[in-house]
Amino acid sequence: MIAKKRFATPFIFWIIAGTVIPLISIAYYGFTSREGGFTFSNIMAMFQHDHLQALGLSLLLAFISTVICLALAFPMAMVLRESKYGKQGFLIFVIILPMWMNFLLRTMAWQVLLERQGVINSLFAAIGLPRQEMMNTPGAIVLGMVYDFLPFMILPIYNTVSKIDNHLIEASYDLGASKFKTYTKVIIPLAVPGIVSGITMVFIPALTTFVISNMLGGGKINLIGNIIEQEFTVNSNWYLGSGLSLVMMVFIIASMLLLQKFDKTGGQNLI
Amino acid sequence: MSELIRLESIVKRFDDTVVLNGIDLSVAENEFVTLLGPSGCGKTTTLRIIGGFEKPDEGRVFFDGKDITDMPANQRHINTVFQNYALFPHMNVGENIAFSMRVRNKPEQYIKDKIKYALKLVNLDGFENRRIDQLSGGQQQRIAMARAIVNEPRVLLLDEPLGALDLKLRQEMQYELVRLKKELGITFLYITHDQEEALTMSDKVVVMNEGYIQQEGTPEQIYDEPVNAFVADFIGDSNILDGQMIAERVVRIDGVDYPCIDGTEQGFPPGRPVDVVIRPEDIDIMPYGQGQFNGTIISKLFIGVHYEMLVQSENGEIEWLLQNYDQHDVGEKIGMKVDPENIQIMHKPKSEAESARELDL
Repeated sequence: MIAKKRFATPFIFWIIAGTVIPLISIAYYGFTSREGGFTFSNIMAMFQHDHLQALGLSLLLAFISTVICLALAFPMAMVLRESKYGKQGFLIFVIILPMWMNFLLRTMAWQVLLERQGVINSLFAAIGLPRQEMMNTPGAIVLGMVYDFLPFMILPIYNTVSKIDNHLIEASYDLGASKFKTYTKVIIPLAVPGIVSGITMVFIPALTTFVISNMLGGGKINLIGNIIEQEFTVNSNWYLGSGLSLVMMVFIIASMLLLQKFDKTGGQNLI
Repeated sequence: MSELIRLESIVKRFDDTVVLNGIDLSVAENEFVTLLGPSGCGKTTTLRIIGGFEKPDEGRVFFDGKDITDMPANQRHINTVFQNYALFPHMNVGENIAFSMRVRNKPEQYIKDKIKYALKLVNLDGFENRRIDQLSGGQQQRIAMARAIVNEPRVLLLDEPLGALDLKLRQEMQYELVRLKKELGITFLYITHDQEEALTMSDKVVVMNEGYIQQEGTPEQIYDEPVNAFVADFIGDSNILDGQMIAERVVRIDGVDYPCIDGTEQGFPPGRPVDVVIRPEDIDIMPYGQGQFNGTIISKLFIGVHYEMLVQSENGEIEWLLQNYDQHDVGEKIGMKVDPENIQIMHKPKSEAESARELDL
């Protein structure tokens, strides 16, 4: 055991350098005013009207994206589960394939597609439909989020549903359950751990993203991620940026705790 | 007894492998029928076809006179106890047992009473709120039974339900299963590869191999009169020997002629080569030279009740397996004798070419 612990040492340094120190410095900046004294104003700044609006919109868009991802991923995971072994590997490969491309590049591709002079509008024009304003809308941002984060929903759900013993599903039918009841009473409850980690892995990056909203929202739609980013980069106000980040962290921890309530099977807690 | 389940020439293929090769089977109401065979013989597939989890490629399944071949599993009056029990891990014992009643929207009071009744039946009173992972293998097995019977099925399918239990528990559960069947008064269709389980519990044993039914009969019939070398070898220990009929009701084995009870009437005319089965407990030990043949004991094992010995025959190459209550030492020369009724004469398995020729006719 002692020998094994020694191998963990590099990881402990990594945690200290990559997690503990940044957290402490964000906490320090968050509670410090520009003049150097202790203050709550950076935290309370979240309750300013435009910040609250951005937070509300972020929560809404992240929520919608998560729901759409879940609605797409669960059936996909079930299809993967049912498919034959050789085919399974190929399908998973196809799902992961876009992740091999750079995240910015993928999002930029949607710009090209959605623009006023873009690919989709050209197609519309060609068949005589009016050009649509698709860029710089909340819809475009949700689309980008779903596109970028969908694999993170499919993989954990697939991982749990693929481990559900087929005998359990057969037992459900054997005991007289319909297909619908088999889903609601057996398959979905057993998939909860995967659903919970899928939701966490989509909702949290969607809530804090600023790249997708920058590229597909054209700077016109401000999410809370954009505001925090601007405080750090444009306004060079690390204090306010850190304060807002701390509030976001509270939201994220709260949502994770809420999710864990559903995961009765327990075992691997996320926090 | 009226017929409850009938299989008519069931054929099942997985990809290109033929798993079931024209199975005909009839199960009567209130019968305890065991499908017995080595793994891969098709017994589980047969059960899954009756349960509705597999569709046969050819043939029909009848239940109580009605064709149920295309009826989905959740509409059949049949319940299954799965090999690994398949208890729902996210539900406690009570919820597991209640499952079939809840999906049918039975009243809660009825469900409560039924859970109590079922737990009492399997001797696990008061286990309602236990989690599944808190139960031992034997307890899980009982809960799986309880869950399957609250639905009041007319047939219970049991897929090697005792396979995962240790020997002592397995023997206890055999009595338990027979008791349960009597109390419930329903049909049991049981699957096992354990010949002892099959013989002790069943009214009827169906021996299967390579997708064919080899023999069907009471445990006594199967044990005493195996129809071929496979059945004889699979059920109990036996000496399976090459022989030839040399006269009416006389078979020659290893150079010695033995009177037997099978002759031309049973399809064994003089001159025909046959397989002969002699159970090891049916060989009597005599003083040297006084039996039908002589041999030297080359090994001896004590198996609890009796001794098991290998005897090298003086006449030839054959090693005989003997079981006897008396002890004899290795190296001792003995005489041996077999009574005519204990010599079981069987047809030699046909070579593939011969079977094909028969089909052409």
